[in-house]
Amino acid sequence: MNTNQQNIELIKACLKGTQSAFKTLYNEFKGYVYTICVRYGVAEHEVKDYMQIIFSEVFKSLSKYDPQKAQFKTWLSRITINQILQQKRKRKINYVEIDDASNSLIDSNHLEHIDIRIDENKIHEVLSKMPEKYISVFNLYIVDGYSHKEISKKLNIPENTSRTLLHRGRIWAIKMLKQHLGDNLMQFKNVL
Amino acid sequence: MKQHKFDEYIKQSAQKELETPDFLEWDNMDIPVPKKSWRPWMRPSVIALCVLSLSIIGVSLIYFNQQGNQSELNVFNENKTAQNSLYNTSNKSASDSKITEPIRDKIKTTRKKESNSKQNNNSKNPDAAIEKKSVKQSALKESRKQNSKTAVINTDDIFVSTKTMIAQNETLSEYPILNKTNVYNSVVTNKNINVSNEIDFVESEALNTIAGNPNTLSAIYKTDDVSVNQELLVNQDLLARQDDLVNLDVPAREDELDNQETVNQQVNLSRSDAIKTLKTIYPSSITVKNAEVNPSFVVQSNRPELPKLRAPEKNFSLFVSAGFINSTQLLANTADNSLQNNLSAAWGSHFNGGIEIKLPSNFFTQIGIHYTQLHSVFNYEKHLGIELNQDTGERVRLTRCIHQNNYTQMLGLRLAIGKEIKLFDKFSNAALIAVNPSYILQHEGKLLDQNSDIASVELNHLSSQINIPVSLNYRLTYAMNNSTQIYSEFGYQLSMNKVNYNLDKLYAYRDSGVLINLGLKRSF
Repeated sequence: MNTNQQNIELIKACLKGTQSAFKTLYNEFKGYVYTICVRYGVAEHEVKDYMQIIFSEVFKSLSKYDPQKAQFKTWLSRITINQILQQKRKRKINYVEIDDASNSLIDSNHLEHIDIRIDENKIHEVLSKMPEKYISVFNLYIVDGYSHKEISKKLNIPENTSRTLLHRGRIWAIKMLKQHLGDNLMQFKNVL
Repeated sequence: MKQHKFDEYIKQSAQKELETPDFLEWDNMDIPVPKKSWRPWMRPSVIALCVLSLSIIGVSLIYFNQQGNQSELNVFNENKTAQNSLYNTSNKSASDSKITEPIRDKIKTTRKKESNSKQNNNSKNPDAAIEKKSVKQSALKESRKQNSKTAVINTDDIFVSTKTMIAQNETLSEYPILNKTNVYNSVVTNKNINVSNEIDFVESEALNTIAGNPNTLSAIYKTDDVSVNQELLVNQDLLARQDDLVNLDVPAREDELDNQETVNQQVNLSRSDAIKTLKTIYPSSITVKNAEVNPSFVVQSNRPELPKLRAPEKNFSLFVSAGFINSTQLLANTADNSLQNNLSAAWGSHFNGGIEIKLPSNFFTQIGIHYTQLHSVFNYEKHLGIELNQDTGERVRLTRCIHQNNYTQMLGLRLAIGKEIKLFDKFSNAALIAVNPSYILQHEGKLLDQNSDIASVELNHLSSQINIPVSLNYRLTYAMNNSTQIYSEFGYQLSMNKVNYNLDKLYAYRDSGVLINLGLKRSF
């Protein structure tokens, strides 16, 4: 029995109302959801609230999950991201429109020296500190694979703003990685 | 290109799952777990079951009610035939003759003899006839002077009131004045009416009412000179109908006939009202005497032998009851009694409804539906530790107090059989055993599991949602009237099931308690 089938069995048990199944499902995917929360810059003191909200929504929506359409992790990540963005919206994080001229600020020289063997936890730590205005677009585009069109709809911003924010996020990430990793950096050209 | 590589690198790095901190463990979270939803087929099935049960009960009630009415109708139809034969002389049918013909024949014979003798008398003494006419006219005039509550009634009149069903004879001198009170409360009969030197003796007896219809008020009167107070007829439901009278073949002189018409017109005033409300007239006996002119004759009572109008036996009852049930959960297979030690019984509710069918030998059976809500309370104090208050230096014991109401709701059929024994007068008692196949709708609350952890009581912990409580009941019934009864019921109910409260072990779960019901029963 592969992982997806196990997940489906677990979901069926949840739908029957078995409490132990909910607990198992939570334990199975709490790390995944937590990782997404961290990536999207959810503060540590808020993580518990976010996790509760996300899993509450997941349990409620389990009956809507269609295994034919997507894997459970994909479905879960979408719910997680939507909930994170929704919560952030409620907390009034506004995106400032930036004109296209700001793209000229990209300086590829910033990306010259990054060690490819840097610890993934360090990357998470660095990315979680990314400014709010960049982090959603950065994660949505780079990690979660959304297009700028999708991002613009999700965040209710123009596509160009999404592109600009992504660029700035990249620059900020490289800059911060350089700062945090310092001497451990290898030649940036090996990466880019 | 370089950006793409960077993105791929970040993506791979970022998708690695992080270790979750301890504060995100399940036990530290407070994520609401949705309750078990109804399976798609369950709700319509339960609704269909309820509707089916109610339909069966309803159809049964209507059917048996109609059966009862039909038997009553049969009795009344027989009586109506008898009535019609008495009063609808214009509508003669084969059944008429049974009752009326003997009376009519006898009266006709008597009247013929009477008229013959009258003719003889009149021919012998025409002045006497004229005198008679004048007396009658004066009687009528005087009667018109009476207030509206009186009536002048000539000879051969029969007044019947069923209010008291007692026959009374009154002797009226010269003019029979019918008093309102007399009509209302008693049978008024004229007797010894002395008009124009004749002695007409008329006697009647009270007639029966239709059983169960004490308001039926009827009257029979027959006359060739009748005056009936209209108000009396209307107000007191004294019914009069000229058509109902036995026809008399009395040859009368023209002047007498004129007087008769005058009087009959007065009767006609009330006829329509009377016919409208005419219900039942039962002559008991009619005796007509004419002591001087004719030999007295007696019309023997030809009262029809009517079947007894006893209400048919009511074998079916509709019952509803509501009450309380005090139940206690008891779990077997436990290493200690901690599970039930923290549970205490509480009063839940209990509703019943259905039909009761009488069986031979005072046995009866009940078929219906019931709803039961079992209720218990979980009280528990969990010691959380001792904390030092740094301000005061005191040690504080932290305790978590839990007060949880546990509910189990059941909906199902009520099937019972019992035996009723009459105590005295209107009281009776019964013992019955009831089996209630039920579907458990709700089962929730909290209790302690074996590890002294608080466990949730949930529907999915039950091995089956079908439960069959059995109860032994004692019922005390008071009959308010023939068809309505109130009762109180006391019983002990027991139900068994299997539960799995700590998710790894099945317990035998017993819910038992006393129940008290108050109910209402209506027989059909």
